Amino acid sequence: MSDDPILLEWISDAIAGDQAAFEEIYYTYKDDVYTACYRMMGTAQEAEDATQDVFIRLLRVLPRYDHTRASFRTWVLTITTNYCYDLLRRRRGSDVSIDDEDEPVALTLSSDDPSPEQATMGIELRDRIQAMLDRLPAQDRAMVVLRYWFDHGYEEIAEATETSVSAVKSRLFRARQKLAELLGDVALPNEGVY
Amino acid sequence: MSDTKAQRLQQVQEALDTLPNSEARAALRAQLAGEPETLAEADRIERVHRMLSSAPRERAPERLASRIMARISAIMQQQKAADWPVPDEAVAAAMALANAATLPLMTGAAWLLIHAATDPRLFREVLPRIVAVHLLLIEVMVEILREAESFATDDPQAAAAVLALLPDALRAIAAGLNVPPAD
Repeated sequence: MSDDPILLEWISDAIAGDQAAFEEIYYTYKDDVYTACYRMMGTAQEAEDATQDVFIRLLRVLPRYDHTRASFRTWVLTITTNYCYDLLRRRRGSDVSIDDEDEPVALTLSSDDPSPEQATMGIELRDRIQAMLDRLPAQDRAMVVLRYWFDHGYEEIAEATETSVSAVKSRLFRARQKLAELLGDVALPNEGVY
Repeated sequence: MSDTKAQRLQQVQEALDTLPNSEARAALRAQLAGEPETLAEADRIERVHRMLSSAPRERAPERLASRIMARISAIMQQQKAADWPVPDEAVAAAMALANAATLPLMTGAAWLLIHAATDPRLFREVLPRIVAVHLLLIEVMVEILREAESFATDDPQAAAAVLALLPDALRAIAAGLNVPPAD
């Protein structure tokens, strides 16, 4: 894997105790980590707490990073999704399946909800996507997040979630079908009516 | 869901992930023309794909940086302290104290060994005692070092004062043993 030499320098300096080097790592990956945490955890507050814990964990495990096995970004995202997955599992005892949810998603995804401003549309889209993601089991959610927000391929997702490529495919397929059910007939922003 | 329909939908989904070219995807969809139910399902899945592909990315709030870096700073300081908890002065003081405390015992053991060497019977009797004295010395030195390190860490100023007095103490011991002081 080809990491930027500057990044490798930051990593080795941070391991040696250089706080400025770790700060560079933080500013490079903060949005990636926060986005993954937000999509996994579902709220801004939980995402902030999780982001904080992920970076603390990152500092502790930094000496274990092997740049010949995975890019640093993939490694950071693996740590992030695993952390959030563990957190969700511990909090809920087990995966939350949409089949266990009583509340129909139509309550949160009403198609007659007008939103004329572009900015508002962006926020609404974000919230709606999040409402649907929250209904997926944690592991499926992690796969969708890695696929769509970080453009990971099947192999990378399999590595990050410590599962097989065929399991990734079938979970991703299942997740999309569930999301399609949840989306129903709600119009998307680029489809005119929203 | 029939096996054929499930297989077709899997192909559609795999195409979404692996075929960036929309023409190739359109060709696949053309194959579904005779299967309206499967095509409708494929359309629904493709909508989900479009929605997720256009999802906005988040930006970490600015305030998070100061919170995280404050915790990182505290952890790094703890790590540094754990890596080398004792200042150099403390180690020097501890070594000097340990040497000063054990010097008379070591000198006595050496004197005994030299005198016993002329008599094989006496040598056999004395040797185990000298070994025992050396083992005791090691124990004593380790304990003194531990105590001195702890003393120096708790009170570095007192440790520095002890360190400053040590040359005089050693000279006094050397004078007592009639050894000429080294400059």
